[in-house]
Amino acid sequence: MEKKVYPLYYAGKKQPFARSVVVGNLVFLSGSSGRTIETGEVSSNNVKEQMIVALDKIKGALEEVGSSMENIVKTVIYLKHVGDYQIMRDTEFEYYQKYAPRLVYEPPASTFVQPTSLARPNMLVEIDAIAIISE
Amino acid sequence: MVSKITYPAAYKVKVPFARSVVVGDLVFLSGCSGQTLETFHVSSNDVVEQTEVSLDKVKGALEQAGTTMNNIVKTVLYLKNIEDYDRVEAKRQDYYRKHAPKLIEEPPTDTLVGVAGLHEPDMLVEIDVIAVTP
Repeated sequence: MEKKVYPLYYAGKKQPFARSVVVGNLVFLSGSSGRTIETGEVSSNNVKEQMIVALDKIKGALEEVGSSMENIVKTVIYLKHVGDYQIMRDTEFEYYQKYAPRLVYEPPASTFVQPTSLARPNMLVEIDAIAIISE
Repeated sequence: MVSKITYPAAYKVKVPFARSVVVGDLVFLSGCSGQTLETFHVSSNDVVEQTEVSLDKVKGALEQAGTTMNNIVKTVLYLKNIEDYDRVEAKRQDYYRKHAPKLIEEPPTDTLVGVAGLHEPDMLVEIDVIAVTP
């Protein structure tokens, strides 16, 4: 089956991993963190703000391929400090209320993991997502 | 109804997980580490060598399932020491250039995770892979 690869650029530089890959009606994303597309750096050391950047990137990547956040099937959320768990879930919930209200009632399957570290020391959260392109 | 095809693990010891499972156009692999198929232990304490063993196993598993490394869609890279990332990524790009050149221009999606431990204390890297069949 053909796959379609959408490249990822941070600060204008192409990364050795894709923004998304579409196979049939499935969309795979690279892990989305608080690093902004514009700078490649996290914009804040605040976990809530990093969550919003990550969710914005997921939303943008899904819209780029003709899907939407409401079509997320599965997430894996990596959170550096487990004490941030409630802030993370509240931020996610508020974001869904605003941009993907169907997920409030029909949420994705989700797994939560605390890693010892993420790609950069100042990254506090990273979200993996798989979605579908609905017909 | 989609059926699944399960390819058993290729280790000399018996393990309760598959080498790969194929469902429709998708191929799911078990995590591939530096544990060799022969010994089920790492052959080296060097992260770059462990990465090479891991990628050889990914390549072999995908070929057995009727696909190739060029068809990788998603990877998750688990590292015991996050500071090894640059060396591991350089090795991985080098390996792709040699065995899956299409991935240089059109890379898979990827997620990097630092972990407290893998299956054995001397394991430094493990790679999870999802691919498509041609």
